[in-house]
Amino acid sequence: MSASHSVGVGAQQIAQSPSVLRALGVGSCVVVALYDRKRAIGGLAHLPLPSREGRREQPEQFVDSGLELLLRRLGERGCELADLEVKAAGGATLLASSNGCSATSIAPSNVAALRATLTRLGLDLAGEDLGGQSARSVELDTRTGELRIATLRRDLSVL
Amino acid sequence: MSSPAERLQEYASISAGHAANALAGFFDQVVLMDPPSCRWLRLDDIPSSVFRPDEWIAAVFADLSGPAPGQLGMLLEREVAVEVLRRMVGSEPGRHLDAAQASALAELGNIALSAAAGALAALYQTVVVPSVPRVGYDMAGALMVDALHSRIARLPAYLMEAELADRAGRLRARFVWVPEP
Repeated sequence: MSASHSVGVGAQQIAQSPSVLRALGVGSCVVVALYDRKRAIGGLAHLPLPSREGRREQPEQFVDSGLELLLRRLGERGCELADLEVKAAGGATLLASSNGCSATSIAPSNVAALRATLTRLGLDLAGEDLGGQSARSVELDTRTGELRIATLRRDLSVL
Repeated sequence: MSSPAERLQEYASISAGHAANALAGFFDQVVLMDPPSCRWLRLDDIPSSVFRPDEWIAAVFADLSGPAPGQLGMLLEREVAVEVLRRMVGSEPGRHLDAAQASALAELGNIALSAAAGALAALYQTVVVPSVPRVGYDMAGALMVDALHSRIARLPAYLMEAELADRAGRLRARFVWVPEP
């Protein structure tokens, strides 16, 4: 039986197989999953804001610093960069302004920050479900590395 | 003499009363059952303590500008939103809101949130201007973060719950007020 861990907004968690890491109700946030198939260990970060530059809040709150922190923590568990599969989901714009203009959302900035950080770190996405206009619930299965994504509007998808 | 926290809670209760009465007045023969209940929570605890983070809700948010800035939101369980839209536009939403349904929810939110903003303006004896409302129909946790993304840190938020009723049944509305520190 696998353990289940909830990963809230601005939090991140690492777990060994067999376990499931779950982020529920992901809208403009970006969720990044890192998985080391050799060691059967995975990490999930639920990142609400794009860049820590000039900010003093915890690094887990930001796409750039949060991703770096998760990489570092997995490194401390013996994972090597070359063994990590990177997948991401989220970055949806959910709110519409009633005057016909699209409401300001931080979602595009979060997705842009993710791509910039991955480029800077030399990492590629093995799978992604980013953008759009529907919230997602995301879970990483550390037995398989599958990232399962549910919305209220379409069938479950698996990356 | 009340403390600043007690004063804020009192302001939240009064503004929610105005918002709920405005909603009741919008519908024919609907009355507010009791004065709205009010409690304060950490903003990022609201989705998990009131709804499930992935629970389907409808929400309308407005920013408040002026000398007492902050944010206001109206949160409706999906079943309540469906009932409200059936009464307002004669249709029930499927997986998406159509343009008429989104517009109706925005209008309803505007009526309630403007009433709350007006009450806050009177209490603060200043001008409080609500922005054009933003409407969402999706998972509660996602909507809260999307609407209040710059304030998801551990800010206090006031959650007000009001119950409206008519012969056909009861509707529960929730309002959230996040005053700028």
